[in-house]
Amino acid sequence: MSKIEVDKVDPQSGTALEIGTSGDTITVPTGAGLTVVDEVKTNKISPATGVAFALGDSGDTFTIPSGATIVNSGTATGFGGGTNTPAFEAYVAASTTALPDNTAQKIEFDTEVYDTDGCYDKDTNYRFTPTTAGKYFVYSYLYLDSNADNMKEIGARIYKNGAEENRMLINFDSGYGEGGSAITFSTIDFNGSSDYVEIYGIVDTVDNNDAEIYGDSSDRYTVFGAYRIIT
Amino acid sequence: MASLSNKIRQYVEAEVDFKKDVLLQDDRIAGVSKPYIKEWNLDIAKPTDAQLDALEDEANAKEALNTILNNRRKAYPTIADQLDDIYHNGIDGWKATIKLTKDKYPK
Repeated sequence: MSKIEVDKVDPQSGTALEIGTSGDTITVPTGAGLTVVDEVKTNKISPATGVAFALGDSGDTFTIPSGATIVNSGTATGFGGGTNTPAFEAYVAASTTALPDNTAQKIEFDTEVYDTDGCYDKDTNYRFTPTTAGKYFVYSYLYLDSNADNMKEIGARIYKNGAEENRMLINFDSGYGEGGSAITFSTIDFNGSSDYVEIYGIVDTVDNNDAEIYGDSSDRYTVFGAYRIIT
Repeated sequence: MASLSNKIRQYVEAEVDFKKDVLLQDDRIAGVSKPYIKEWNLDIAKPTDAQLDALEDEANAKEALNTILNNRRKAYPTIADQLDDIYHNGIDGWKATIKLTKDKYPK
């Protein structure tokens, strides 16, 4: 028998229907569609020809229910993931800079922890100029030290392209601090070519004397870093 | 050398808001510290370098005085201890205590 034409196949008895035997190949040819309205159970889905396999069409939604797990052992693309680079972090290795009273001074972070794409200049301008456009999380903390209990305020500021982007400030009121960490952070857009950021520190001392930007070669007290945000 | 902030205070002859009225900056170009006036938002004219240089001695004297006052502030007993001193030793006793610090850091 080479061909059967029927409109419906039902179990001869009970509710189970089996098609073929182990080793058989059941083929639905090109142009023919197979519609299963309810659940399909299988251990593997593979391309019929070649190596490409499409799941659904534009506008379709596939839901992974709560409690289910997807395990990826291959390469996943187009899911919005990726690496947060360019990225860098650098710190001040030695307390060498005198910070003048009430003057926003550029901080020279001279030692890199990492610099994935060589976008941070640790030798001359102490600025981060990422070569990939996008949003970046930029952060810094500065340990400012006076050894004189004379600090009224300390602050850290991010400058983008030479202009102040934000300022964060700690006010010691009348308590006057001997030292403390000024922290600043922001999400900043970069054009991937000319845009750059730098960090400035500022201190207001009650006796108008200079303060110290504290650096250390083993512990990182004064740090500047940034990384690209995956959007 | 007097700080630029203090020279400006001497020039203005008043306290200055360095977050709004006058913004000072130091870009440390080539690693050299050279503070300058980034923004001047006061009604009186922005001073020239020569005008500021002329205030060097005055500003140094003010800084020296501020250092003395800060040293005294740190050396004085706490307010609670001073009140206790007055309670037990009277005003004269308290004044004697305060004088120790004033003599240690004379103007």
